[in-house]
Amino acid sequence: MKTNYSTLTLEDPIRTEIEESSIRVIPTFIYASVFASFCIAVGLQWDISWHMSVGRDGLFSPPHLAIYLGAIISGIFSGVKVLKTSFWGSLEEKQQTIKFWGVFHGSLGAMFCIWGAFAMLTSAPFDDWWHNTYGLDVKILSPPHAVLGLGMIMIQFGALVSVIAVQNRLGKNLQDKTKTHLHWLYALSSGFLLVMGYTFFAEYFFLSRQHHVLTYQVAMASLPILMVSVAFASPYKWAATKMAIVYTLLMAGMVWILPLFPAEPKLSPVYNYITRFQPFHFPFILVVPALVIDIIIAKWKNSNKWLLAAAISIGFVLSFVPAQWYFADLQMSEYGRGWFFGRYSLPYFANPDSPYRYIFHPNYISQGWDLVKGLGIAALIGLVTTRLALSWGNWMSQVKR
Amino acid sequence: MGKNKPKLLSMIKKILLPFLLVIILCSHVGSPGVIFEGLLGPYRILANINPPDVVPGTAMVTVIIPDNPVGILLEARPVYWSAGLKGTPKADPLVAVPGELGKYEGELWFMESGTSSVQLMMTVGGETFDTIIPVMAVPTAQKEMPVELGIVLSLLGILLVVLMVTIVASAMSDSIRDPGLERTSRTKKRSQIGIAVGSIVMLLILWGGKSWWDAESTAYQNYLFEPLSGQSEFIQEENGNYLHLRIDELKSTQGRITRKISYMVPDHGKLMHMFLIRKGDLDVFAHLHPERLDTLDFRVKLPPLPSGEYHVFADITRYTGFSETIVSELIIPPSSEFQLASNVPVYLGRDDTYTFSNPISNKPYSLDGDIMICGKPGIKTDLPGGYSAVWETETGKFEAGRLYNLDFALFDPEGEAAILEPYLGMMGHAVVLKHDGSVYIHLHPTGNYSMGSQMILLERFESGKIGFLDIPKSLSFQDSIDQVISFLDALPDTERDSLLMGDMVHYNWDDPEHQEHSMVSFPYAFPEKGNYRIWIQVKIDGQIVNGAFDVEVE
Repeated sequence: MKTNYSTLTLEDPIRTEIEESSIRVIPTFIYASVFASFCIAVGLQWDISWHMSVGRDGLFSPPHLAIYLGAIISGIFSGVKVLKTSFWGSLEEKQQTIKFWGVFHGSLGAMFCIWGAFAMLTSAPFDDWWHNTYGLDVKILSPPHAVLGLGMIMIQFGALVSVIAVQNRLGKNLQDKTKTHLHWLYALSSGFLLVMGYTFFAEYFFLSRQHHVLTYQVAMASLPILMVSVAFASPYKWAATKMAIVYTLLMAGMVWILPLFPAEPKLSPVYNYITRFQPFHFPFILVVPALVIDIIIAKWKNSNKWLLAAAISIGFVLSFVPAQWYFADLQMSEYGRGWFFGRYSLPYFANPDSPYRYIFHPNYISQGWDLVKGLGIAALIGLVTTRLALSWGNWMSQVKR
Repeated sequence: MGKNKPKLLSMIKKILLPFLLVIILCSHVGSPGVIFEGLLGPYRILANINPPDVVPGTAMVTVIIPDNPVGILLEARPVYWSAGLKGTPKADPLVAVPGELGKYEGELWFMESGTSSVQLMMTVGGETFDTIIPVMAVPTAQKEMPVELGIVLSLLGILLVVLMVTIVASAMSDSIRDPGLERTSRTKKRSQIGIAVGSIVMLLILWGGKSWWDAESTAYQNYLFEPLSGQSEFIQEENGNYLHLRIDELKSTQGRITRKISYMVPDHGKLMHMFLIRKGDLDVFAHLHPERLDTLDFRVKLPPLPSGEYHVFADITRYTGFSETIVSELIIPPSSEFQLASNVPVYLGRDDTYTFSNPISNKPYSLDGDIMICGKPGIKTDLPGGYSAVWETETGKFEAGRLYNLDFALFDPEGEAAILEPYLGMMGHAVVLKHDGSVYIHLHPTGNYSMGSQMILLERFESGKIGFLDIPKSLSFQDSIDQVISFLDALPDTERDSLLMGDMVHYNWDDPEHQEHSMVSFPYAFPEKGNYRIWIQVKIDGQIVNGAFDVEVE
């Protein structure tokens, strides 16, 4: 007992040393970028819910503030880091960065974050003008929103690139603690990015459309590029699965938390008389194809990239489509309307008695040959995006600055 | 029979009143504001609503309470015909404008196109009074980007493009270089390829973005409110000359139900109020009421009007509360004048009327010092039959965008106050036309709204009906409306007027200053600068009397 005691006391100073070194190894701006990415992902889900429940917002509505907080944190931390390295940095620091425009030294991740912050800044006056000219758009995809969305994605991507660059630069010289931090940061930043990727195309992912091939074609065009590249670049096992879990928990968490708060529609006309925040979508069951991606990459990472892409794309379609198809059935049933899946959710401006509320929209149902053909096309789209994702992942695994 | 008639009348009155009294809501061209004058609780108020020009967008609501009471709470909210009161969020307070006594302002969001209204609510001493003012929510404007904003956005855009090209080039070259290693010729080459690839990608994105923007802009233009148009034709027949109006079919995909032409309902007992004004000199004015031949075709007998080109404005309204003005042109050929000169008697409809006045002069009217009404100078116009009208105005100056009461005093040939009778259910009608024809509006003493439209919206709101599902079939609806019109046309004047006036409460100006003459007053805000002509129409001794005034708005 006594000996044990003394051993414990001796360990303490050693631990502190490790912590100090890990802090030095992972720059603060990387933690800040990942946190910014989190703010953006949460802010976006919250903002959509706000538009479904309250309707009226201003420049400084709470969800907007969450998104701006992300932009500001990421922009300032990255900007300061670049300026600091450029003008006050040591030669060693400069040698770890990219020199651009003759004077600046910055990491690629920081450059992405700065670009994202500027894009978000640009979108604000552009969006304001757009609303005054074409009316307030009650949709996710419009040109100014695309600029905003690109800005947000770039910040999130910058966070991911920053994490992976540290990982690649230090390679096997990492201490356990730093390694764990990087591992977590990688899973988190990639998961937040996946939330954004999903939301960007969410107009095609509505539950009522999930028995239609277009949903899966759009999914194959947008999701593998994120999931496969992350899995391929990762030095850790099960990267895509962890990414999918983070995505699932964040989106589902919003479905569980938002309705706890009261909301009152502030715009006319109101057809659905709600009293609580209406959550956005319950997430896709992406854990299933993520497992498939991780298994295939773990087994055949070094085989021909086209063959690998084909295997992943087919595996993705064959695992994801049936899983999501029946998962959609479950959500469409009575079970889906409880708090867990949140499919009771309906915007204040939608008619609650609509005959299409709890059915798959008859215009969006694929059957028979159409279904087979459509999924074949989805797999072909997936082949292209997966192949791109492999190159992308290959590049990400080399980024060191 | 004699006993049954009042019963039948009261029954018809009850059933049809909402339809009979639906009034012109946006029967105007180039004059978007909705003006209301009336009582709200114990106070007389004047409200001016500037509907949004982009939908979804905001409307500006201005309320003036001349008594400037203290301790009141004034609120407003937009209520849609389709959503009713339950589907309308809590009202927003209107805020007192500093420095302007009794003036309140507020902004309201209109999220959908269609028939809507503003509900004004006033809380005085624990009691709440409210009123409904109909408003059409339609997108009417396509805006350009201000140059300053364009410059700022362009600069930011260039920065984003250049930075992204830099990022792509760095990603392909420097980012994968081990720390501490110098650039090699290979890195440099990859960087150059990166610049090329990045530039091409950015150009593609910009091109895609532009196509997208253009497509959105085109989609918006298709969504813009397009007024109904029509073709007016002059037709000579043995028993006289006719105007045939064919309404062009609605092309817009917006408002397929709201703007259905077969949903037309009578306004002041008439399905259509048509105004003919000779172009250029604006010296000939006629107010006619065409009959419906079928859904799109209308016809009316023409009074002996001189040849020339005419503006034709036809005001209609619908069951859904949506009303508008059909604009067309009529050419009366010179040959017809010959026939008219031969003094063939023309039998017009009993409510149809026309008048000749002096051609518009380019000089604005000056105030006549000899004409003083209540100590204020006025502009006098002689009316047919020895009557006269005086436009009472303190300065004779009018500013665009400001709300005025256009006050007219009417005199009989003896110079005594003329006794006004209701004409088509109103104590007076006025038409305002900008000399170039770009602004046209039909006014009433209550503004450009009536108690009737209030009633149709209120009744719908009380019924709790929402949406577009429980509404009548267009053909049977058209038939029953035609029957109502023929019933009304067969009624004698007094009975019809009492039916048309309904429960309308005309605010009696309790104004000792004006006891010795008859006044008719129209609240209006001229939308833009320029020269305007105003025709007023009143009924004295059973005769419809028209008079024209000119005004320059600064």
